[in-house]
Amino acid sequence: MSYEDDEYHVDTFPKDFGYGSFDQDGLDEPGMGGGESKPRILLMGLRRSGKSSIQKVVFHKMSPNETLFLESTSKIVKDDINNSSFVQFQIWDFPGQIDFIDPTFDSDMIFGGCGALVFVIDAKDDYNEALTKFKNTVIKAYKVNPRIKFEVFIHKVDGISDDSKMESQRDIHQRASDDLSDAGLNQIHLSFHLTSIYDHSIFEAFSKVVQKLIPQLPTLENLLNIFISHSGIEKAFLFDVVSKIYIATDCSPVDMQSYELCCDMIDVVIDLSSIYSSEETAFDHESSSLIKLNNNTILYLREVNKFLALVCILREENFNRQGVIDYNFLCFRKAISEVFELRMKSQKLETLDEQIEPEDDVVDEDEDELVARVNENHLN
Amino acid sequence: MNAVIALCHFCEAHGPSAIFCTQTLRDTKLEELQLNQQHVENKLCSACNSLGQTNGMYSKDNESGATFLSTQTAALPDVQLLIKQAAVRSLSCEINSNKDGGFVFFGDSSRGHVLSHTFQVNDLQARGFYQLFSIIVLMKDKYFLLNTKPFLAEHLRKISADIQASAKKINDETKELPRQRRLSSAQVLVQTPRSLVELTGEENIFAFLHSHFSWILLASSRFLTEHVTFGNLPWLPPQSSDRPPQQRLTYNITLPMLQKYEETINDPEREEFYSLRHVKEVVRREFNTIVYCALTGIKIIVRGSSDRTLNFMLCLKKLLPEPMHNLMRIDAQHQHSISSDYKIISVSNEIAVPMACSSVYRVDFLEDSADGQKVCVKWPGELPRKCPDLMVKLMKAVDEKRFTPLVLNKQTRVLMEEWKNKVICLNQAKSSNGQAKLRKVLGVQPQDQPLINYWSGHLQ
Ligand SMILES: Nc1nc2c(ncn2[C@@H]2O[C@H](COP(=O)(O)OP(=O)(O)O)[C@@H](O)[C@H]2O)c(=O)[nH]1
Ligand SMILES: [Mg+2]
Repeated sequence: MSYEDDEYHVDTFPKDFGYGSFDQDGLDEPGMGGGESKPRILLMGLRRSGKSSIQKVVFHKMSPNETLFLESTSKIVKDDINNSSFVQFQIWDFPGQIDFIDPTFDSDMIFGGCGALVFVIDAKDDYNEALTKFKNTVIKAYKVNPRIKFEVFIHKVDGISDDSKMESQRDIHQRASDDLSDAGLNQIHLSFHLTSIYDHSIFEAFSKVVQKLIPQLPTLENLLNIFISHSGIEKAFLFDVVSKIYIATDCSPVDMQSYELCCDMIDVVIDLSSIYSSEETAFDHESSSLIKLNNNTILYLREVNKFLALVCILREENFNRQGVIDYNFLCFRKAISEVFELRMKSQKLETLDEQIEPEDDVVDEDEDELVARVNENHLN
Repeated sequence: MNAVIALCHFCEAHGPSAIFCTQTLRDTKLEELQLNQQHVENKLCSACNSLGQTNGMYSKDNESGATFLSTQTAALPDVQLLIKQAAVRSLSCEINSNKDGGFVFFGDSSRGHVLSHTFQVNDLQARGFYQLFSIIVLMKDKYFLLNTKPFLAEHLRKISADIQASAKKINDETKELPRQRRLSSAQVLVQTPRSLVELTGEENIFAFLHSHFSWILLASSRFLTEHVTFGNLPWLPPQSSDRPPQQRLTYNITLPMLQKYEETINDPEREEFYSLRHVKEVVRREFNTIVYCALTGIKIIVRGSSDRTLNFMLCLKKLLPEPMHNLMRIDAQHQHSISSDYKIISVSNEIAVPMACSSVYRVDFLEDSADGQKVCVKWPGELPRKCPDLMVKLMKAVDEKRFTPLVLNKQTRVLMEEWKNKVICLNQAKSSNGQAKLRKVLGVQPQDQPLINYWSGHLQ
């Protein structure tokens, strides 16, 4: 409480809504706004659509059943996800009851530095109201920041038959697109995901959301492609161990079952090693695991760095050449760490000198070079 | 504009809103308000409802003519908007994370300054098993709000504690129900949120709130009225007359206490019995500061029940020469006549008083404290390096072990007379040259100046 702050004058209502600047020290550093350093993911939607549950289950290991007892969100809850080198963002969980599109709120502040807007729609409920709110939100957000990625989670699809899942997705897609083209905003791209906190779909969907916010994604995918093609691997996921979202995979299509298998494998490894490891951490650079399934398939997990793990699915006969796989993996790991260093460097440059925009293509060039080098290193 | 006090609620279905507002009407007549014409919002559920859109409660203070009106939405449209915005802020932004409710101050000159007190009320049927409420006090005058904050905080907390206690009682009763039923009810939470009446089991909860809010508005206006004043202490009305007002020693609000004062104040026996040592016993280490403040005219506010403050006040009286004594009773209606010249003030516990600052010295008599301390003294000011001569001599006399109370009182009196005469003498000198010479003769030094400044205005 200071007596001297009369000079600064604020005209519209919550321009200075200091949504608790005290409980998130250091987040408002300069350069945070639009920079790639820490994009923001907004969780919006009607009340009780499941926003807080998603945030808790995906990033705080809450068990789905516990979400029954979540309290209702009364203010914007900001959560810093700082897990790994690549997965760095802030999640803002909104109270569904408040209409943030209202002009009294500072929409620049809300949508300005936002990377993705996740709009959660309760599939078990009547979604007319949700669609109206969605339309208004998208229109406003797009006006403020046309670079936002719009993601629609058709949520709580557990216990709904596949047919009606598809039906509601089609319906929602149709109506949301119609609404937007009525508003003359055909160019906005919407992505739809069927999700539920009771299975892996929410992790899958969130992975896709997060991947779009990783500028190095093409490089990572490229590295993974090279790695699997030279090692006789069928599918490989690069996982963020803590949240179990995958931040990259190779170009072959993802099927839900293999993703679930890999998630479960991480759980097994973490659980086992937390029981038996003498150290504090259950996951370190020695971590690796091999699981043989009875259908001639092998799951192979290796630590990439403190937060990332590579999980591969391959046929048993291809595992004969484990030496090759391991060597290729080392190359892959080295490449990843170099990509990471580059990123760190460009981030530092960015904060050192705000004016000099880190030129994306320079970074890309370097990364391409890297890929090329990795290529050479492979034994084949 | 006077303060508006409102109860706000974060409704699980409809978000934050104010559900009950109490405001003071002075110039606006009740009849002129167009309560019925407010547009009725359709989103109202039982939790967002208090009195209903068309009802109100009002109380009138006959003494001051003020009316206190409680309605669901504030009666004046512009106030309504301010309250609406303040409600959102108090429940959805400026929440004190302290679980049992803290106080947050926010606002600016255009949206009003707000003191907000957020608290949770148990509700087994609500999500997270509580509902979020807040009480906000909205004012235009920031300094007024800040100065009355200790008083407001104390009473708002009492109100919230009352509500929480009743809700807890209801809660404990429902806990007896078989666990199964509770759990299932937690799952079908979607039903409309419960109203405050249901939460507390008090049918007259809003009447209770009305009387409390009105009382707070009344009590805080008794001590202070809002004025936009600059260059003057914020709680003092601007002085109207040029004629220096008569000097008064003390005033008080309650009549019985006044009579007691009048009876005892001229009782020589009593006077003789208590010396300045009594003051020292009470304030202990703060003795030198209180003597300094009394001598140099820094406002001293003694707060406590009258039977406890009486002797203390009588002793403080000894620190001013007789022509400066004057007993004065002040009540709500005469508050405009309280000028800054009333220096030593005794008030009872119910009265809101300004916070201690360098120009306000506060002595609060404590009800009962564990460590044997009788009072709580607050004064952020500092003593000068060299104290006035009179003060030094008084301190010496008080510490002189061989002085009995009687002798000490005589000595005090002599010293006071000495300095009274010096000041009167200085007042006679017209030219500054003559003044300087007189000072030399009388032995007046620079450190005595604050005392002379104060006394010379009142001694002829
Ligand atoms: N069946 C089902 N219930 C869910 C799912 N996600 C959330 N819920 C439930 O939906 C309710 C509301 O969740 P919450 O996250 O608080 O909603 P919010 O108001 O959008 O933050 C809770 O009782 C959750 O248990 C889901 O995927 N499936
Ligand atoms: Mg929530």
